Amino acid sequence: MSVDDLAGHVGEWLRGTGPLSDIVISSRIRLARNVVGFPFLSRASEDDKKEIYRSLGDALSNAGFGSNSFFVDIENISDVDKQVLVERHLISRQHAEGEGSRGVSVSMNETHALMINEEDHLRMQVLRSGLQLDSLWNEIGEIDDRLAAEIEFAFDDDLGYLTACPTNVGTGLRVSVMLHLPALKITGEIEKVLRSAKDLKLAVRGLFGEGTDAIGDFYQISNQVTLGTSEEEIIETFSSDIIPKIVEYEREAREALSEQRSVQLDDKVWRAYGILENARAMASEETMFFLSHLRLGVSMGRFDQLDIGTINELFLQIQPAHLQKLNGGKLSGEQRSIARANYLRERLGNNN
Amino acid sequence: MGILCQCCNQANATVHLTDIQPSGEPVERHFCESCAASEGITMKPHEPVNLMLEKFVKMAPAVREAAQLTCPNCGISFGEFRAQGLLGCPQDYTEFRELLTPLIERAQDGGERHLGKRPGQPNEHGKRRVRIRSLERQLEEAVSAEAFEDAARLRDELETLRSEGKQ
Repeated sequence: MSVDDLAGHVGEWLRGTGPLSDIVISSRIRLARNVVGFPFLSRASEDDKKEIYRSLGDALSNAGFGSNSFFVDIENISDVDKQVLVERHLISRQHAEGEGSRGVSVSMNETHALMINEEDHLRMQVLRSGLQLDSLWNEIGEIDDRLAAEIEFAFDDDLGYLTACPTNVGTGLRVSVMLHLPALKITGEIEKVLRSAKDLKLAVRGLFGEGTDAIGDFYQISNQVTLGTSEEEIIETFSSDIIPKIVEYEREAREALSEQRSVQLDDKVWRAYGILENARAMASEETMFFLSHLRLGVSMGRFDQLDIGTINELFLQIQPAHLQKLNGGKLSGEQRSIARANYLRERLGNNN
Repeated sequence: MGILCQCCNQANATVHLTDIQPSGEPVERHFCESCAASEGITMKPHEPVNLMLEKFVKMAPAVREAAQLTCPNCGISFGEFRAQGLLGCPQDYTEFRELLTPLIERAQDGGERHLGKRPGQPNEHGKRRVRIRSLERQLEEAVSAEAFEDAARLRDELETLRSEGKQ
């Protein structure tokens, strides 16, 4: 299996199934760990990095992560391939843009990705479509245990797992839930929701994590506190409290739209469809904007020519690196816009 | 001797204003510091400048000293850590403990001790907390549904769990 094989289909996190999947795109849990006996990466020499890479690689295969997974040597793949992995959320931007020995072990169904030499020596993450944090915690807990049996992680009795950045110390846990909130955006209530999320010490980011905008009305909500609370408490607060509340606000906004502004709502949905199936050149940001309105129409049952899974797939395939993979070669920005419009017309079944 | 304050006629004027009249004629006005402040022309400084300077000078060596503190294991200084936000090795948490503690507490919303998973050990604390929260929710529901028998049972269960946590 290689990066090329990935690009043609849709990753686990965009399947469009699982609890609350009309609004919750995906759930993700990551754990940060460092190997005892090595400096953190900011002070690691190239030899240190190679040694960490080798040690963790051995631990992975001894723990049985060789079968049913494939390993990508990030240092030695093309920029487009790195970008494909970022667009699929299998590695972070930071990991793609880093330097020196680094890699990622990905399960065949893309439900877990174990990054070596990111900000910490090991960043394990598990991904699922919809709101499925409990099963994710069981899964990543088991991965962590299997690896801990092979290699010793830096741990302090008082401070817990020691990480390169003190903002991750303790559990090293980050829970991230990706939400699609177009109705709150349309009604203008989104700012209020985001403000209260920030008051609860939560981070709100865009589709591709830190420093990215909420294009396509995607918002990623994550915990920031990792010390003084247990993994189970953090996860429980997300799955029983924070996320259901935001989902409820979005549902209320959707109801208000369909009761009070149904014509304007349908107009947005059908205009989006009209442009997506007819345009001859589409930039990625405007495509996300219109796909978001179309997704809203589909999940509210006001547009039945497409299903959620297909729209989720379109969100992924129109990203720059995926588009280039589909076209089998590097494309300039302008060529990408044309290729994107062609792809959309083809997928939306219009042969104009 | 300088110009006297035109307001109190006692102190030396240190604030000088030039107003341009509607006719285009400039008119000069002179105030002492305290009259200027009470007229709302200038803000009273919270602290005299000399005191602020003194504090700054006293603080500087402590800050410089802290910034130069270096980890014998990885060689990173506290100043370098502050500049890049990343520590150099696990031992830094011990070497810089005093300086790191307030930073960690601020970043972690007051959290200062690990309550989560430990390598190779089941996390009883976490599981108990989750069980307590779930019982609390059920109790609330039972009370609002006026199912008082259930509520009493849930309350007893909660008490047992909570007292186990205190041991």
